[in-house]
Amino acid sequence: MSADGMPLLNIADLKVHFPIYRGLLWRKTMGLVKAVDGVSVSVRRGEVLGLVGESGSGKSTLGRAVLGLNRPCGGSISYGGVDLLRLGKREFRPYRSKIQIIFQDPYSSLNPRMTVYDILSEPLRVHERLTRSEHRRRVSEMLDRVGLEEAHMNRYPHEFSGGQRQRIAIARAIIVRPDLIIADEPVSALDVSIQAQILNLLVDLQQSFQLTLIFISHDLAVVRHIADTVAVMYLGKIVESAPADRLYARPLNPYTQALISAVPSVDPATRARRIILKGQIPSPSDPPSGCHFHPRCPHAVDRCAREEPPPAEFAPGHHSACWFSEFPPS
Amino acid sequence: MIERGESLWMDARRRLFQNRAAVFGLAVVCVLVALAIFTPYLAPYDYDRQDLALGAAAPSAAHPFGTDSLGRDLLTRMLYGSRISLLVGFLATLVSMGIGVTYGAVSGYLGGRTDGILMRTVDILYALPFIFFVIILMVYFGRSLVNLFIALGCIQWLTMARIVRGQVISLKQKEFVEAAVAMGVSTPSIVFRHLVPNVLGPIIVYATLTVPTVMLEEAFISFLGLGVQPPMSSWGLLMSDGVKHLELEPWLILFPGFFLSLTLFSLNFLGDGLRDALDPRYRSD
Repeated sequence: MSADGMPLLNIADLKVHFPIYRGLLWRKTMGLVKAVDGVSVSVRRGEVLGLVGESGSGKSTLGRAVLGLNRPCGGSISYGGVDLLRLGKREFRPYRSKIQIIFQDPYSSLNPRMTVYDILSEPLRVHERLTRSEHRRRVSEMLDRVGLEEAHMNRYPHEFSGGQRQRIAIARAIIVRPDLIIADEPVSALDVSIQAQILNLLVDLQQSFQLTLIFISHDLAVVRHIADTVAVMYLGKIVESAPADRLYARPLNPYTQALISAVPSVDPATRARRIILKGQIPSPSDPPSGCHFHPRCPHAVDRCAREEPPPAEFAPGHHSACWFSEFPPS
Repeated sequence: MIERGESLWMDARRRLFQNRAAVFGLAVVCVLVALAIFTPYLAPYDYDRQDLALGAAAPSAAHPFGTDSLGRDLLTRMLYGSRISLLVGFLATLVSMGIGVTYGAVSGYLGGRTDGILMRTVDILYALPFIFFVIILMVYFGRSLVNLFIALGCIQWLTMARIVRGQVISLKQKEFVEAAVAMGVSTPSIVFRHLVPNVLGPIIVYATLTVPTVMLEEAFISFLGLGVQPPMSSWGLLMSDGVKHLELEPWLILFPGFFLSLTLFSLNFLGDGLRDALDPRYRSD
C-alpha cells in the first residue's frame, strides 16, 4: 500500500442534495435530503482511502457522485486536475474507463442474461478497439487473475457462488486498467469466511496494478485491514480523517471513538470501555442544529447545539470536526 | 467441470426440445403454417366455387368439413383462410412487438418528463376506439392486406408498451444497469442489451396472446368491409359467418373455432416453453 504523494482525486466542498417532492399534479419541493453536505477529501495516486460511516451517512452517495451516477449541486471533483463536474457527457467518457466501481451486491450487479464473457468484454468493447481473439485473451487473463478459470467464460452469473460473483464484478472493474476503483461495500453482502478471500484479492490487485482505491464500508475492522487513510462520515459530513494507524490508535472525534469502541474485541479490558451511543442516526432531511452529532454525543455542551465545528488539523494529516478534539476526553 | 461452448441460442433450443408441451405447440404451428403455404396444391376445390343446388351440407366424403349456405367447400375456405389469419396474426404481432418493446423500454428507462409524455400519449391512444383508429389508418394509407397488418399492429402495441415499461422501471434500479452506466455503455446499448433481454419472458407470453386477438380483430374489420374482401376468406370471417348458422349448421362454427383454439393453445405452449428456454436461470444442468 504505497502512495507517491500526488493527489489523483480531490473532492472539495461537495454537496449532493436530493429534493423531496409532494403532490401528484402540482409537485412541491418539501425539503432536501442533504446526503453529502460539504465534503472535502483527497486521495493520492496508489492510496487506499477507507470511507466509513453508518448507513445513511452519505458514503455511498459520495462514491456514486465521483462516477457521475448522481448529480452534485455544489463543489468540485477534480480528477488529475480536471473538474469532472464541469464535463459534458462526451467529455466524461474517457474517464469512465479510468474510474470503475465494484458494487455491494454481486447478485444484482451482474446481468443474469449475459455470460461471464459478455460481462467482462463489455467494458473492453466500450473503451478499446480490439479483435475477437484479443478480447478472449484479455478476458481469460483477467479471469485467471481474479482466481476463476477460463472454462467459466460461457457460464451465467447464477451458476456461481456469491464470492465467485464478486470476483467477476472485480474482474469487470479492472479489465480496462482503471486508475481509480470505488469499492462500495464490496464484502458486506458476503459470508464472513469469503470476506477475507475477497479482501485479500482486492489488496493483491491494488498493489500489482497500482490502483487507487476508495473503499466504502461500515465495518471498521475491515477498513483497518485495507486502508492507508480513513475518513469517517456522519450525516453527510466527514467528521474525522487520519492515517489509518493513527485513527485507530488515537481517535479524536467522539463519534469515531464510539465507533471504534464498538468493534468486537476478544480482550475483556477493551470490551469494558465500550461507548454506547444514544438513539439512531437522525434523518438527513432534518439534521440537528450545530454539530450534527450533538444529540448523541456523550460530551456535548450548549455550544455544540449552536455552532457547527469546522474541520481542523490536529496533527499532520489528522483532521477532526469537533470543538473538543484538542482535549480528547479521557 | 467440462464446459461446452454453447451459445445462448443453442442452449435455448436444447431446452425447448426437452419441453413436451412446447414441442407439441411448435409442431402444430409448423403443420398449420405448412398447410397455409401449400394451400393451392392441397385445397380440393376453388375457394369461390359455389354449388347453390347443394347449399349448406353437413360433412360428407366429398366435403369433409361440410359446405356453407352457398355450397362452398368449408375445408377449402379454411385452408385459404388460414393463410390470411396466420399472416395477420404473426405480422401484426411482430409489428406490435417492435413498436411496443422499443417504446416501452425507452419510456421506462429515460423516465421523468419523457416518460410522462410518452405514456400520456399511450393513454390517449387507449381512449380512442381502436376501430376508429384502424379506419383512419386504412383510409389514409389505402385498403390493402399489408396495410391491414400494419394498422392492427399499430393498435396492439399499447399494452405491450405498458408491460415493458413497467418491467424496465423495476429493472433499471438494479446495480447491473448502474454498472453499465458507470462503465460508459451507450443508452441504446443499455436498453437493448441489458434491459430488453431481461424482459423477454413477459414479452413472449404477451406476444403469443396477441396472435389470436389480432386474428379476431381482423375478422371484425373484414366484417365491416375494410379487411379481407369476399369471396376471399379468413378464419375470423368464417367464424363470424358460422355464428349466424349456429343452430342449423353447427359445423360452420365448429371447424373454424376448433382450429383457432388449437392455434391459440399451441402458441401459448410454445410461448411458455420459449420463455423458460430463453432464461438462463432455468438451465437444468
